Amino acid sequence: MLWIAIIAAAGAAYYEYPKLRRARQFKELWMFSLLLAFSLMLCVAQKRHWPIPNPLDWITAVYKPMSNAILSVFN
Amino acid sequence: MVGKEVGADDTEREDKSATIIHTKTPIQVVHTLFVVAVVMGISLGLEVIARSAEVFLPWVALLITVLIVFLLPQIEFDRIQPTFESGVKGIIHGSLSVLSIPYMELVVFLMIFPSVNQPKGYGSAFVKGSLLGGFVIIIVTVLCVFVLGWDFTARHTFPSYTLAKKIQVGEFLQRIEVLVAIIWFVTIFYKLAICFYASVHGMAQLFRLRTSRPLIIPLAILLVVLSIVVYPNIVYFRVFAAEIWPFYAITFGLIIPLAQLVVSVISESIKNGNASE
Repeated sequence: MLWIAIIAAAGAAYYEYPKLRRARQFKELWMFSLLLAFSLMLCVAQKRHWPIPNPLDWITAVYKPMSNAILSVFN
Repeated sequence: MVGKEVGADDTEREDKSATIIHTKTPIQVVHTLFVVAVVMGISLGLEVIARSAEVFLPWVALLITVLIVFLLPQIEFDRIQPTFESGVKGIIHGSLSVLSIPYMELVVFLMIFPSVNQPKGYGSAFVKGSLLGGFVIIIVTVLCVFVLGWDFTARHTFPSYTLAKKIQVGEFLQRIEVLVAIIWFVTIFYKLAICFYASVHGMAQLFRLRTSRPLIIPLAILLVVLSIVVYPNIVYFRVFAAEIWPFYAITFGLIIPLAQLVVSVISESIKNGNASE
């Protein structure tokens, strides 16, 4: 998995970097590099079995009181 | 089998294929292959996806028709009982998930509307498509109840797949449940492609980027990682889908678009009022 991600990232960087550089789209270039670095970091974290925070836990934390209140009406 | 149930996609339930068909394949491989196909589609553009959907839609319709026709002999009308057992409250509670899983997610099509080149007909096409989808949901649910009974339907994770296992025409046409799996593969591909398109273009618009192409590969890698992370197990997924997802979906699918509509109507009327004075 990690190797596929690294190859895909390298291919994307090889393909996108000269185009973005030539078009002087530096904001896009920054966004691309930051996002790529972030996703590769997540890949490594998953490979190493480091704990990755689950975004759905945050959604659950926000919506749990509302959900409890409304679902208790139905039961 | 149980081990492969671990993990599902953020936007999609690809674990259907991993749980039932590719039981020995690591789930990451299934997700990666699917995401590679989606990335290819998205980088070719929205029109390619729309045209390929035109090719695949008749096949999906044909397979659903085959499923319905071959199940007709298995129907037993007694199985509809008990009806209205839990009253109005139970029915509203049950319809909450149907409301949230397909219908509130239709908001993602709002990302596609700006690129439609026939601005006249898309409203009615949207309504027609959602009505047709709802019709298929109703037919499959009714078949599930009439063929499997309510208790089996409630207990299975994927009742429509079990439904297809019941097909038995004579002694020669049976175990054609992979038809349902083909329907899933095709339809999930389009759902994931549209959701992925919406997230790539939404992110590009959020940061006011001039092109969204550079975001495709990083977001695809992120999607594959998150597809494993977000659902640690099937129980987590079912609790989330039943208790949290309806409210989350209503926020984005109903409240925010409605608020934007109200704001746009008000600002329009203020503008018109100023112009007429």
